[in-house]
Amino acid sequence: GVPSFFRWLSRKYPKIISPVLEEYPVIEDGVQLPLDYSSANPNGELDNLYLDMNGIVHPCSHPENKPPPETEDEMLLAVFEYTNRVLNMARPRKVLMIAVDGVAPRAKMNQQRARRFRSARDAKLQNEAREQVLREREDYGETIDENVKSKKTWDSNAITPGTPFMDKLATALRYWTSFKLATDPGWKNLQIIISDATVPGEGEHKIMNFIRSQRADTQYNPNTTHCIYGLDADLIFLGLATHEPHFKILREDVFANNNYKKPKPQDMINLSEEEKQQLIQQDSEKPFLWLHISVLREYLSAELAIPHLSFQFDFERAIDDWVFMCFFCGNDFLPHLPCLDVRENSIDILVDIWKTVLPKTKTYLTCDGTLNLEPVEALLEQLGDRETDLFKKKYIQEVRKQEAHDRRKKLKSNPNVSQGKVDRNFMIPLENMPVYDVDGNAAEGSLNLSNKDFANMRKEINLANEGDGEAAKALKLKSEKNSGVVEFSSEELKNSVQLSKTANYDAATSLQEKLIAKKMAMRDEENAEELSLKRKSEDVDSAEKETSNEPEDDEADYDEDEGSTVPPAVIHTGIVKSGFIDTDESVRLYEPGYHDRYYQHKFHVPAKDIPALQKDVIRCYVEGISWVLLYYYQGCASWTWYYPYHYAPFAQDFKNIKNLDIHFDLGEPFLPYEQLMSVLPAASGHALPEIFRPLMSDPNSEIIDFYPEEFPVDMNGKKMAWQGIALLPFIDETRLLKTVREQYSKLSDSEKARNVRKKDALLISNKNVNYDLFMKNLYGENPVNVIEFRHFKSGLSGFVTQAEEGFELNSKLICPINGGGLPDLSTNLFLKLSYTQPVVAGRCKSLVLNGYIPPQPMLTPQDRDCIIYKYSNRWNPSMMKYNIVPVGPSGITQYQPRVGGYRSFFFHKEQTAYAQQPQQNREYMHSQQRQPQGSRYQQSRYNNGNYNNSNNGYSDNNNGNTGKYNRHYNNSRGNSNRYSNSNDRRREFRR
Amino acid sequence: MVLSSSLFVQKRSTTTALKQPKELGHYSRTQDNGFLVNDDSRLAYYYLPDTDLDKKLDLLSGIKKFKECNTEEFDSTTLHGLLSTLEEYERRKSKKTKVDIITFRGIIRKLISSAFDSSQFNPVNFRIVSFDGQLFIKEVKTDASETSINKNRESLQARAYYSGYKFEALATLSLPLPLVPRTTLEKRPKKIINNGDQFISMVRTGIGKCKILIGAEVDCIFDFKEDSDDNLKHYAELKCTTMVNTVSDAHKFERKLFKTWLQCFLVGINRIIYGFRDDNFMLKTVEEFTTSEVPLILKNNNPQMQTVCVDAIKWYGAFTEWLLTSIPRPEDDIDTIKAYKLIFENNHLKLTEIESDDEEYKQLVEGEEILSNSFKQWRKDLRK
Repeated sequence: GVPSFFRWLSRKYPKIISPVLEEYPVIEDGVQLPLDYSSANPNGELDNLYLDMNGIVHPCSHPENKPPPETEDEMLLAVFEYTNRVLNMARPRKVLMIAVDGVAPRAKMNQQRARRFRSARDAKLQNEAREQVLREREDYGETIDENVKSKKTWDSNAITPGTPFMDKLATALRYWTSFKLATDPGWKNLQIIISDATVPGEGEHKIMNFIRSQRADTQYNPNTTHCIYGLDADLIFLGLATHEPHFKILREDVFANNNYKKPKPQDMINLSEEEKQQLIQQDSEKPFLWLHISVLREYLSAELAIPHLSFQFDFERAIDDWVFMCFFCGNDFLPHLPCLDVRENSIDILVDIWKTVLPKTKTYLTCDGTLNLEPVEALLEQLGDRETDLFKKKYIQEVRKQEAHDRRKKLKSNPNVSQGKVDRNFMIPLENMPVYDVDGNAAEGSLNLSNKDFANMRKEINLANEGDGEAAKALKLKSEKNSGVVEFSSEELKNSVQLSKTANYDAATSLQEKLIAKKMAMRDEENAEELSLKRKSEDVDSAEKETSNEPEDDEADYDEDEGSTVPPAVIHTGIVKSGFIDTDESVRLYEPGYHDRYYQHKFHVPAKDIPALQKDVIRCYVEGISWVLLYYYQGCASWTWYYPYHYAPFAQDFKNIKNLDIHFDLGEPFLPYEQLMSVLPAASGHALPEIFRPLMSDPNSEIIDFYPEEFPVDMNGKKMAWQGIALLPFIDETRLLKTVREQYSKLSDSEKARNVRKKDALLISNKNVNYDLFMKNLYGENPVNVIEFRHFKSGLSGFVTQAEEGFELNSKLICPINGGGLPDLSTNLFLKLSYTQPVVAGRCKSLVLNGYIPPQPMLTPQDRDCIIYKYSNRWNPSMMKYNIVPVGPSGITQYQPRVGGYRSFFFHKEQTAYAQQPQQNREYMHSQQRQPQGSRYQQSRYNNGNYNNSNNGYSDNNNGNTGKYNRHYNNSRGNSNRYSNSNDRRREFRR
Repeated sequence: MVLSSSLFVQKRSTTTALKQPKELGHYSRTQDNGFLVNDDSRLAYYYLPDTDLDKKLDLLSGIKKFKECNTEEFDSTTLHGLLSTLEEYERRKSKKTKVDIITFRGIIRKLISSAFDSSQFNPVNFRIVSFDGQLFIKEVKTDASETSINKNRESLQARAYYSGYKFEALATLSLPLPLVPRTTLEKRPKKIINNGDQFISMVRTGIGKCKILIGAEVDCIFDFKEDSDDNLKHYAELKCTTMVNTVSDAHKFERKLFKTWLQCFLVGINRIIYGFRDDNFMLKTVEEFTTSEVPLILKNNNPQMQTVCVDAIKWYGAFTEWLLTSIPRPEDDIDTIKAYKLIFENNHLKLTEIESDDEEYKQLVEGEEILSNSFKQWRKDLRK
C-alpha cells in the first residue's frame, strides 16, 4: 500500500480522524457477558461494513506484539475474536461483506511476488536467528522445551489464494458467520457476503465492485452508511472514488502511544503462560480509530477550490483528479515517479500545478475513470520543469539531515569531545588506521583494515596471533578486498575528474568512462565534498559489486540491434545477483546528466537506446495510470496487463502522450495454482500440491528461471529495507501457464477442488425478510434456478442461486475448528446461498445520487482557512481524542438553504432574529415543532426513524447552519423522508 | 323534463373520509399526440443535485425551439387515452371497475377551487355524460390560440409557461440515473423541450361514498419505480415559481402551495418539489415539501389559511355527493347516454341536462367527444 500516506493525510487534515468509542464486556460473577450487538452503537449507526479480511488474517496469524498462535486452528480462533471485536465497534445493520484476497490481476501480482519472495527470505533469516538465540540460551544452561525448539516461524505466504490454509479459512468463516447468525439476536437482519479466495480479485476491489453494483440498482438508498475495515491507505482513495459520502474507514490506531514496551521477537520465544496472557491482553486492548471520508471531502472542497474558473467547477470530478494525482506518488501497481514521494509533500506540489493547469485546459484530468491525456500532459510538463530542482532540493535536505544526525551522534558518543554545549570542534576519529611508510604508501605486509573490520574480526586476529593459519588467511583476504577498489592509474583518475566536472553526459558518452568516473568518485571521496554523506552508507561489498558491472554492461552494448523500433532489451533483474544495492547512488539525481544515467543504471541499456526505451517506458506508464484509474473507478480493465519495468520514467519524459491509443483486453484471471506459481518462491512450495514443487526447485524445470534463490533489492534512494525494489524477473505468462497446466491431470480430486473460480456466498438468518422467499424457491420442492432481489426490501440487491458448495436444510453444520468450544449448528437457523452482484449497465459515473443528504459539516471557518491559505496546522494527537464525527445524513432535505426559497425565507429571517433575541426565538422554535396529526398517506417504508428528539440537539448548536435549517422541515418529520436515516440514538449518547 | 340543479359553494359535507388512492394503470402521451397504453416510456426520473443550483440554470434557454404540442387540431382535454387504459385494465380483470366518476385530476381540482377562487380565475365549463352507471366528465376544449405560447414567445405569460417545462426538463432524466450516460446528463440544459411527452397515471380514489377514477399527469419518479402497478408513493410533483423575498411573497406562495396540495392529495402523490426563480428566470433554489405537511405549513404560517385544507375536503365531499344524487345513473341501462353541462356562476355550480336539440348533443351522446366507440363497445361486450 501507501503506508506513509495515512500519516501524512491525518496530519494535514486532522479532523478526519476520530476515536472509536468501544464498549467493554461486563464481568458478572466472574463470567464475561457478551456485548449486546443489537443495542445502539455509540459511534453512530451503520448500514454496511466491509472487511478487507487480509488485514485481519495477517496480524492474527503472525502478530508483531504477542506470541504467534501455535496451530492454524488457534489462528482461526484469533481471527474470529478479532473480527468479533471489529463487528462490535461497527455494528452493521444491513450488510457485512467479508472479502478475502482472491487471484489478483497480473498488474498486482508482480508486487505480491516481490513481497512473498522477500518474506520467504525474511522467514529463513528469522528461523536462523531463532536457532542462534536458542543455542546461546542453552549454552547459558537454560532448558528449552523440544516443542519450542522444533517450532518454525509460520510461513505467512500460506495467505495466498489456492493454499490449504485459505480453504480452511473459507470454511471457518462460513461456520463462524452461520454461528453468529444463528445465535446472536443482534445479527438477525444482517446479510453476510463471504467473498473468499476462490473469487477472483483483490479483497478491497471486490468490495468496490460490490458498492458500485449496489449503487447501480435504482432502488439503492443514496444515504447508505458504509464502513470499510482495513489497514491499507488505498482504502482512502477507494472510499473517495465511490462518491458515497457517508463513508468511513475503521482501522487500528497507529498513533496510539503505547504505554507498554513492544516485545522483541527473541524475547517471545520461551514465555511462561502468564507472560503470554499478559501480552495477549495488551494486544487486545489496542485502540481503533475512524477515518471519515465525509470530513476528508469537506477538507478537499476547501483544498481544491479554484476561484474565478471560466467553467462550472465540479467537486466530484475534482476529487477524482486528486485521487489520480495521489496515484502518482505511490500505488501498488506502478513505481512512483522519481521526483514524487508521499512524504515530501508531492501531492501539494501536484495540486498547485493542477490549479494552474485546470483553468487553461478547461477540463479535468479524469472522467469516470478514464484519462484526459491532454491535461495530464500539461500537468506533467509543468512537473517536468520543476523536476531537476526537486531532485536538488531533496538531496540538499538529505545531506543536511545526515550531517545533523552525525553531529548529534558524535557529540553524544565521542569521549574526546568536551561535553560543554559550546564546543563543537571535536575531532573526527579515524576510520582506518593502516600503517604507512614515509612515502605515504601502506606499509608492506600491513593489513588494510577499517576499525569496523578490526572489531568484526577480533576473533580471527586473536587466532592469528596464536598462529592459526586459516584466520590469518581470512584477514589477508579482507585486507585485499579493501584495497581492491583502489586500482586505477592516476591518468584514468584525472580523466574521470574532468568528466565529472564538465558533467553533461550525453548519449554518446561511453559507458566505460562513466563507470570509471563512478569508481573514481567513490575512491576520491575526500575531494568530492558532497559525497561525504554517501561514504557513510556505502560498504565495501557494494563497491565490489559495482566493479563487476563492467563486463556485463559491455555485453549489453553489443547485443543491441541498431535502430530497431522494438524496445531495447532491458535487464530487469539488475546485474548484481543478491543483496542490497542502491542504484540511486550512481545515478546522482542531483547532478546534471542524471537523465541518461538513470536509464543506463536502472534499465541497463546503452546510451544510444535510451530514446527508444524511454518511449516504451512512457507508453507503458501511461497505460499503467489508465489501468489503475479504471481499476479504481470501473473495475478491472484487464487481468493480464502489467507494467513491465521496475522503475518509473521522469515527468519530463511525458511528451506527446495525448495521441496515445490506450485500450485493454479484459483477458481472464489466473486460476489459484497459476497465481501461486507466479507469486510464491520455491521455499513456500509446501503451500502448493506436490506435483508443482519440482517446477520451482528442479534445475531442469522449464520455468526454473522464475524462482531465483537469491535476488538483489534496489533501495532506489530509500532508507528502510522494506522500501526497496526486489529485482525479480517478470513471469512469462504463456510459458508459465503451459508448464503449470500440463500438470493439472495429475492432481488429486481434492487438489483440483481448490483450483477453481467460485461465486460469493450469501448467508442470512431465518429471521431475514428474504428468508422465506429464498428458502422456498431455492431449497423447496420445485427449486428455481435463480432469484433476483432488489435493494429496497433488505438493503441488498443481486441474484441468488443454490449454494455451489451445497447446503441442506434439516441438517447439521459441524464446527470445523477444534479447541474453541464452538457448537455444531442446525441448518434451519440460517440459509447459505450463492450470490451474484447485480450487473452494472454502462459506466459508473462520479456523481452523488439523487436524495443524498449531506452529513453535518465538521469544519469551522478557521479549519477551512488553514487549508486555503496554507497556515501551518500543528498536528496534535490529543485533538483526535475529543473529535466526534456524526455519521450519516443530517436533516431530511438534499438542498441547502439558498436565498429565494420559501423555507429559507423564514430560516434567514429567524437567523437574524436569533442574533437579536435569542431567548424569544427559542420559544418560537419550539412552537414550530409540532407533529402533524394523523397523516393520511403512509408514504415511505424507509420511515424507520423517530425524529422527535434529534432537533433538540440543534437548539444550542451554533455552528451548523444546515442543522438549524432542518427546523423548517420539522413539520414533515412524522411523514419522514425516504432517504433519511435515524441517527438520534447516537445524539442521545453524545448528550 | 330537463334536469337542472345548482350547488352553493359554501356547502360543506360532514365527511372527510378520503379513500387511500391506488394506482390501477398508466399510459404515455407522445409528441405526436398518440396514446401508448401501459407504457411508461414518457415517465421521467428526478435528478437535480444540490450543486447544480450553483450552475446558474437559465429557465428561458431554448424557448425559441420549444415544441408546443397542444395544437388546434388536438383536443388536449380528451378522455380517450384514459378510457383505453381503463378498458385494458378491465379486460385484464374481466370486470367493470366499480367507480362512480371517471375524469381528470384537473377537473376535480377546478371544481374544488371554485369554493376559493372567482370564476374569472377559475373558469368551469365541463360536459358530463352518464353511461353504464358512471359519470364521465370532460372539460370543453378552449381556444388553443388564446393560451398558446406560439402567439408571442416574448410575453411574460409565455415565458412563465415555458419556464415550468424547462424546470422539469432540467430536473429530470428520461431514464433512471444509472442508465443515463454522462454525455446525456451534461447536455441536459440544451435539450429541446416539448409539452407533448407525458406520463399519465390512472388512480382510483374517493371521498365519502363516492368512488372516483382519476387520470393525472405525473411529472417524475422521485426515488425509484417498482415493478408493481402502484408507484404512487414514488411520484413527485414539480413546480416552478418566483422567489420569496417578502412576507407578501410568502403569502402568495402559500396560495400556490395550496393549489399544488390539492393536485397532489387528490391522487396520493406525497412529494412536491418547488423551484424558485428570479425575475430573469434564473433558477435560484429548490425546496422539497411533502403533501401531508402542507396543511400544517399553511395553518402555522398563514392565519387566513388556517382551515383551508379541511374546507377543501369537505367541499369536495359535498359537490361529489351532489353530482351523484343529481344525475341519474341507471345501472342496468347500457344503451341510454345522457349529457349534462356543468358551469360555475355566481358562487354556484350549475348543472343542466343537454337536450337532443342542442348542437353539442350529437357529438356528446352519439359521437366520440367524450366516450370513444371502442370503450362503449367494450362495456357492451362485458355485459354479454
